[in-house]
Amino acid sequence: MKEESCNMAMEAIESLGDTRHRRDGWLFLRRHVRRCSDCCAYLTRMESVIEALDELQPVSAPDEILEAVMGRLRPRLLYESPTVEERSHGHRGLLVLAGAAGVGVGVAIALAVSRHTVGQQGDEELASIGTA
Amino acid sequence: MTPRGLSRDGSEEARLVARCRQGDVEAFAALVERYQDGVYRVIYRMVGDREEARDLAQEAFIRAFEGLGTFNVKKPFRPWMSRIAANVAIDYLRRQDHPNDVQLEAVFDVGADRESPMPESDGPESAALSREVSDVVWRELLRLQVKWRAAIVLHHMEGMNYKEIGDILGVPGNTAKTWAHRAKRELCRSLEGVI
Repeated sequence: MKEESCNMAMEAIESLGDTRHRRDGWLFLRRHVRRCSDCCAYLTRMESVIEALDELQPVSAPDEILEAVMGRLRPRLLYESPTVEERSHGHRGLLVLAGAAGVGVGVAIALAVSRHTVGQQGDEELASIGTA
Repeated sequence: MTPRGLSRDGSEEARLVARCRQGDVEAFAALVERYQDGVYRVIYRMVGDREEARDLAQEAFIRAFEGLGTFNVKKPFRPWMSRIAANVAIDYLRRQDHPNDVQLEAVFDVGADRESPMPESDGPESAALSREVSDVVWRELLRLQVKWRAAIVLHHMEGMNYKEIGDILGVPGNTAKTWAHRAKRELCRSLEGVI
């Protein structure tokens, strides 16, 4: 019987710090440790462990972490593929460029054809003047 | 992990993550700035070495950046980031030849962070005993199995519940609870003969 209640007490002791103890569980534990020296010692040690864990002060990160992380990421972000939005902007730019180049080539061809035609007409006129 | 300046409902984090995904570097810098203390603390408590913790914290943020695409903005950012930090620390400890051994200076390094052990009125003997207890607990904490240590660090020092810890460690919440209880039992055993 003692062993069974000791097991229950140990379970309750190990739950210390997990959640708030139910009142009946806490009363059982208090009553038990009053007459069980082993469980009483275990409770004392567990309270010391929890106290020691709770005593840790917050630790602050060294200042250089932010700088170091961003130092590693920035070059990657500069050279990596752009976002979807940026990509669509890029595609639009290429289309405009290609369109402009197409128009330019068209104009150049038209000019060349017209010069060729005008040149032929000029030769014919000169020939007809000579014949006359 | 208590980030500074972020909204409780996580909407600020969600906005920052969305901006990061658009390629906004400064948004990620804001996340690093706000979470660096928490990430560093989790890792430092687990590895017990400041230099290693600093490098591993950087690694955790790089991993986080690379994994931003998988982050669900409807969920809080803190557990997601803690999971990455804990996993980086666990991976590091598993890579070591003797993951449960720590350098002696690391033990005292950790001990140096704690608050004054006892109020002045308790007297020098109580203070000395308390300091001895703390030293034993810190030493044993860093010698625990990695999974037990992770469970107790995340629960007692980061205030996470066992469900969250289970999610981080990839086990059910009850398993995380068992590990934390075993860790506490082991720490208690180390105090036999001291108190």
